[in-house]
Amino acid sequence: MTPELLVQQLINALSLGSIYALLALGLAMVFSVLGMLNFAFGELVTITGYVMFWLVAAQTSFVTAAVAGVIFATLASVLIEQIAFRPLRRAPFVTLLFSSFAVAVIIQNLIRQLVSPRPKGVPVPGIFDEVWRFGTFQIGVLPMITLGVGLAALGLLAAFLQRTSWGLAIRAAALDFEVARLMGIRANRVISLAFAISGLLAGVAGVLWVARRGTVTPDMGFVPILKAFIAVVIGGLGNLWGAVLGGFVLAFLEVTLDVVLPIEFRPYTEAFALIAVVVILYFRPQGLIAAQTAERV
Amino acid sequence: MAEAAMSGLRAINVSKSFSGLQALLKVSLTVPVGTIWGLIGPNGSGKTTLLNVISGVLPCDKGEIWLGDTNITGLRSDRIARLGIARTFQTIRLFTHLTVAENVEAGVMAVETGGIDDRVTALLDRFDLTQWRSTQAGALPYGIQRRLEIARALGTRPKILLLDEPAAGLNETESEELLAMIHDVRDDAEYGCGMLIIDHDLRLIMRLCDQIHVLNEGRTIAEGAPQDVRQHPAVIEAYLGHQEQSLL
Repeated sequence: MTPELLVQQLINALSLGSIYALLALGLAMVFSVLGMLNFAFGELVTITGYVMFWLVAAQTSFVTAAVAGVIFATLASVLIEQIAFRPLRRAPFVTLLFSSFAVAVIIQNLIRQLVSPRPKGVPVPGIFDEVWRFGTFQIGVLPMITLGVGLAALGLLAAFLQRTSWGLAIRAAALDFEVARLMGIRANRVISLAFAISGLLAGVAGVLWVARRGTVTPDMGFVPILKAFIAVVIGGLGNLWGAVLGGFVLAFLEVTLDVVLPIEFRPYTEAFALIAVVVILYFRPQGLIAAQTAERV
Repeated sequence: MAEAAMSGLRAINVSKSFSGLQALLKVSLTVPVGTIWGLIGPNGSGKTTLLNVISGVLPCDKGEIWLGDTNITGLRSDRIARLGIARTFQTIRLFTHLTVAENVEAGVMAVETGGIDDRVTALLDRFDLTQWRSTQAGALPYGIQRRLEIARALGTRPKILLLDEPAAGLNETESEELLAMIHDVRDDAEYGCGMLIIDHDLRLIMRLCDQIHVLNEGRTIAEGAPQDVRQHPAVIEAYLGHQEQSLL
């Protein structure tokens, strides 16, 4: 492999990894606080995509459409929690799981009925297709933008979680929600905030996802939720920064396999990536970053 | 005393059952602010269930719980905490991945609107935790973790503090330090509050508490000063299964 190709693939992996990390962190955020897997999370990506589709079709700029998409995904996430999950707060895990599946199916079918079951194009700015040249190195603009936006979003979220009282409340609730409540931390606000952050992350990831695909479909949320789920499991279920790590590990696996596999095996890259995940989980069944518990010293 | 009782905790005829098993039956107790009450009883007598019901972790089936002139029966646990009931746990439940200062801040921030950093610093100082300030709570020595758990609970400015086996796992020296600390807290001008303490170390409970409430199979079998409770026939019977002269 030439140094040029190595650098390109490294940036591709980091770029894809930042999308997976955003998705995984969004899914892990709600799981850490509520102990529920929100399978309607992928539909937040879909909502972002369709808001962008409508606005770009209405001659709005791509950036404005992207910001609106993120805002709608955030609001939709909070609304879904209020309508579909809050009334079931004390229900068993499986009930919440089915509720989230129901929300996902309802959103997909609403889009099929109200918009179209067929793919719709979202024209992306021409600059996304351009390539930056540095001597013999060629780097795609879109992977660089994706990487920049992804890392900026992760950095801002990390600063929010580490440096604000509400960030501390989220981290405390993620570690032990019952104790956080017993310390007086307002449960409903923390849960709403967790869903808002989850929606925000899905929205940002959704914008980057649409920028790569250039199309939206009613079932476009399936692959993001699948990737997020795998990344969360790799990182360690319930661990916020483990989810981020899991996202990057999954992306590196996929990009590496895409390069090293013989060409006739490349359609099966994802299958080989999943085999690699199984191997990781065989040796680290608790994920890469396991939860620590207090020990007697 | 009557005024302190009215501003403290009152459980009135509290009952709770789990799938037909009667965990608590018409239990009533009053913990005035500024006093230390012990809650003792054999294993399975309903002590932790009563703490869970008071702190809002579990709803009670019947009865009422009052904090001062506020009926807190059925309120959410976070609301009860902000009204003034804090607790610790039989098995230490700190936020292990957060630092010592962040653990205390988690207790302080729910009840304070400003000056949070100052209050955290004051609490760390008050409980000799300043040197551990930036240490992850899960990495602390066990005795320090117990102290931190109490400091975090006091961060919520409770009127009543519920301590579930605070001496569990402590050695004799640590237990003595804990005993002195609990007495100090009761009399502290800033952090003073009423306390309800569960512990299996009856010698510690007898030395520590002003009054003792004894449960057996979910029912109150005795209540009174330590010297009276230790000679109460029903208490001796419940603990030892036969009549003895005195429990200790």
